[in-house]
Amino acid sequence: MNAALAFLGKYWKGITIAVLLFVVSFFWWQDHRGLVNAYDASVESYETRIKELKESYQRETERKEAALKEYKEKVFILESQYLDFKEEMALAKEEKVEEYIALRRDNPEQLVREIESKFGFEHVR
Amino acid sequence: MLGRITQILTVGLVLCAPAYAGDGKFTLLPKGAKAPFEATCFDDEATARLLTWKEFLEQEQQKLCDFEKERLTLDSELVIMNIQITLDETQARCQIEMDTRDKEIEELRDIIKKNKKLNVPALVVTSVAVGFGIGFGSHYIAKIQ
Repeated sequence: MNAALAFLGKYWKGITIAVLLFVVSFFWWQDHRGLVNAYDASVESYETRIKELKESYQRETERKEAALKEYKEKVFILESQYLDFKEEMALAKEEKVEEYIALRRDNPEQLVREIESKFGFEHVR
Repeated sequence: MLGRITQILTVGLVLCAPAYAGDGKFTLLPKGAKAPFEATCFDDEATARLLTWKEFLEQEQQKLCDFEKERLTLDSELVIMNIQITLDETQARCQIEMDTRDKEIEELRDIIKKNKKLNVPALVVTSVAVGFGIGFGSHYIAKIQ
C-alpha cells in the first residue's frame, strides 16, 4: 500500500496525463462509434430501399406482361370469332346465291318481287 | 366579248332543267331477247349475288362494327390497365421511400439519443481537474504517511 502511494506521489503528473488521455479517447471513441452507427443505418436504409424498389419495378414489368398476354389472348379469340363469322357468312351467301339462281328459273315472279322490295326498282314487262 | 359569254352562260344555267334520277327499272329477259330500254345486263349469277349482297350487308356491317368496337374496348382496357399498374407501383415505391426514410430517421434519432454531443473543452477541463485531483490527493496521502 505504501509502495503504491509512494508510486502515485512520485508519478502523479504522468498518471494525470494518462487518465486525461484515457477519458478523452473514450469519449472520442464513443463519438466515432455513433458516427459509424449513423453511417451504417444510412447504408442499410439505402440497401433496403434499392432492394424494394427493384422488386417493385420487377413486379410492375411482370404485371404489365401478364396484362399484355391476356389482351393478346382476348384479341385472338375475338379475331377467331370474327373469322368464323365471315366463313359462315360466305357459306350462307353461296347458298343464297344458289337459291336466287333457282328462283329465277322456277319462280321469276317471286324474284321480281324480291328485286322490287330490296332495291325499289320498277319492273318493266 | 366577255360580257356576251357571261350572258349566254347565265341564260343557259337558268334554262337548264334539273336532272332527276328515278328509282330505276328492270326486266327479266330470256336469252337473245331485246331489252325495252337502254340497260346494263346482269346474268342470273350476278343478279343473285347483288340480291345476296344487299340481304347480308346490314348483318355483315353490324358484325364488323361490333368487332371493331370490342377491339377498341380491349385496346382501351389494356391502356387503362397499364396506367393502373403504373399508378399502383408508383404508390408502392413512394410508400417504400417513406417507410425506409422514416426507419432511418428513427435509427439516427436513437443514435443521437445514445451519444449526446461531446463538449470537448468541458471534457478537457474536467479531465484535467480529475487528473490533478487524483494526483494531488495521492501525493498528499503519500506525504502524510
